[in-house]
Amino acid sequence: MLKDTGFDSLKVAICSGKGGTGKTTLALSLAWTLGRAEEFSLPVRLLDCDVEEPNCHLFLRCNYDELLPVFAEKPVFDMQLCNGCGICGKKCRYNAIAVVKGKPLAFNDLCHSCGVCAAICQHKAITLKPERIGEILVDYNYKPFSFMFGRLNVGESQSPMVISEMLRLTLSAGLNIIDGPPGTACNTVKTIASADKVILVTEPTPFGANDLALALDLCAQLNKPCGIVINRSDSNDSLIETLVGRYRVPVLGKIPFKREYARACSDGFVLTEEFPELRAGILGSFSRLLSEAAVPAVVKGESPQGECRIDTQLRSTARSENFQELTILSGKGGTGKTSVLGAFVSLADSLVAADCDVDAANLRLLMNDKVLFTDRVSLGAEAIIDQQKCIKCGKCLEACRFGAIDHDEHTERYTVNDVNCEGCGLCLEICPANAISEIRAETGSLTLSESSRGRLVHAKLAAAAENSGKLVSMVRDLAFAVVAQQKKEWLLVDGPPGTACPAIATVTGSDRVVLVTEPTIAAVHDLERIIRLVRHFSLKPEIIINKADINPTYARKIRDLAENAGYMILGEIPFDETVKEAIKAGMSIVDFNDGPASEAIRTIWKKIKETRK
Amino acid sequence: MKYAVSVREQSVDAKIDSRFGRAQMFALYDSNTGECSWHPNTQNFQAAQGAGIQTAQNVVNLGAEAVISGHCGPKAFRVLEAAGVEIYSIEGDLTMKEAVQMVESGKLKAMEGADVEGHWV
Repeated sequence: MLKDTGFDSLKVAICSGKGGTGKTTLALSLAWTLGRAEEFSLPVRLLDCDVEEPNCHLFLRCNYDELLPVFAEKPVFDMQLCNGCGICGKKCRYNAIAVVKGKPLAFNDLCHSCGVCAAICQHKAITLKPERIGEILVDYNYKPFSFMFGRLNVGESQSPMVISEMLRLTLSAGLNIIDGPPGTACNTVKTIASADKVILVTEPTPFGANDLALALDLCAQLNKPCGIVINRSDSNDSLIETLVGRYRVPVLGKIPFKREYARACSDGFVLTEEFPELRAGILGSFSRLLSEAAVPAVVKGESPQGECRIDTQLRSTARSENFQELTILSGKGGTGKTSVLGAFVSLADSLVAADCDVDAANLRLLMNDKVLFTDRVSLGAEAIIDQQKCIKCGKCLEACRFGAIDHDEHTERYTVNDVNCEGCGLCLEICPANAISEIRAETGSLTLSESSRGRLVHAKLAAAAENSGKLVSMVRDLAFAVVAQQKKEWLLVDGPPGTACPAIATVTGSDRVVLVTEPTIAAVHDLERIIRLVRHFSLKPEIIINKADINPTYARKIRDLAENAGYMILGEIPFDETVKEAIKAGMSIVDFNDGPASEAIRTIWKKIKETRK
Repeated sequence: MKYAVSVREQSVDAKIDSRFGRAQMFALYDSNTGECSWHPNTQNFQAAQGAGIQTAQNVVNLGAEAVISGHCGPKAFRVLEAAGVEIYSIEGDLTMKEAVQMVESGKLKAMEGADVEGHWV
């Protein structure tokens, strides 16, 4: 069936709305299985484009043939020419230049290399020079597929640039399997936009379904054919099947849930290499992707009806500091962060909850909340070209560094490509006809809701929108106002996965950070990165090991890591099948039963309460 | 000395807001004349990042000679340092006046490095 695949070159992106659903597991299994399959003759290349937290390489034993540095252009000032006028600082949309007392200061890690500063400086005092922001490691001779992964230097924000460089290294004759970043933000957009077909990996839980819908919306918006693979498949698959039926996309295959599979992944093994019984299913899924993948039908979602009441709410409140803000983070997605926080919400007597995972908020699925109000939030800007004024000179197309100006050769019209536009403002500055202006882009919505446990603040970032860090700050600001107004004791915050802007915006100024991790090779890797982040904010992280008994070796590694650094292990939660049932019932595990996980979480919460500062 | 103090509300008894970049507002207090004015910490709403940098520039433009706040990140620190503004970091639940008194009486030393590391640095 695979002999006549009908293509010489194909790019398949593997994505998932939610982190920790098995994206990397599937990408590795697919690359390994197709690379070896006799009935598939094309060469296979695996590209790990999750450049903020690449994990694929942990599962492979590569000898890298090449290390390709990735550069981005950053401003350099000629102080002979600079008169300290400060216009560059005012025009920089990324706050990457400050000018104080006539002295320019550049903050290169905030710079997006848009080139506005050099273009507008009247004294020609700014030139752009390449600076290394990351690297790509390539093993051309790895067997049975060639492999590469990108890595963004810690502290840099230009991950899309590393991804773009990687995508230039795809096989022109062969199959490219691209392990994408989690979520639905700009990195994911870049990855999906470049692919021919997309596999969305999900798990049969309400969380998985919620986040899958977001990823499907994105594929619909980008007009990409896709199919679904259900990982950890069990008796709840209908949750996913009903959803994808509405979007009219096929389920390509299922990977059943088994403890030994989870164990093998946690130890860094490729599933299909270890378990031959899974190979046929993976091959079948790929073959169905080729024949059945479909662009998702657009499903009309609820649109927010806002009257900007949130602004008033924020202003009317003086801050009070009688509450403690407890933030849950994990680094890697899918470690059980939300399940643990949901249980804390049930156990605390006096609280407000906030969900800062604005890419895929799903704490509310455990809180059975009623929306009080929702506001549209507009944080970014997009350029728009006035066709009446446009003189068709093409300068904008030439200058834009993000490929965000489209040119139609028949009509000669220049238009802005919303998906690529970063809102840097360069085209506005250089257009000789003043034909380009900006509109505020709708980047999401902010919601306050009420449940029997307490109020909840959450947000939704529009697909492909930027500024998730800012939206996180808005969630927290509203939560501060609500917790002060209602005189509650706890502000319980569910953080986003990863270590980039949204995680930074969540940790800043928090009183206490609890990290939920699990004993797997990938989670331990990401735990070390998130610990660095938390420490940068002068906080001592406290650690919970979830599913502690699935891999004693890595559980010990986490304990050692904590002990050496002097971090408290708040407790360990055993693997418990009923956690998933509780999520399905829309309940927190402590309300659902008194099983082992429930007991462990109660003990942990008691400890947290006793050590309240 | 002109102090810019991050505060939680517009009041002479206001308590210090421990955040710098995302502080609600600043009180500009002149310890020579006893004059005090309040300035909301307005940000360029389009910017997702660099709140500290922008706030630091605003504070410099207000004419402050010293800043009193909770934690000042490395980027804001660089801006304030370049402008020759002294930075005092305060722990605990103090009012603006108490904080200024601590600085004036020499109980608090100016910072020599950022105490909160920002984006990885």
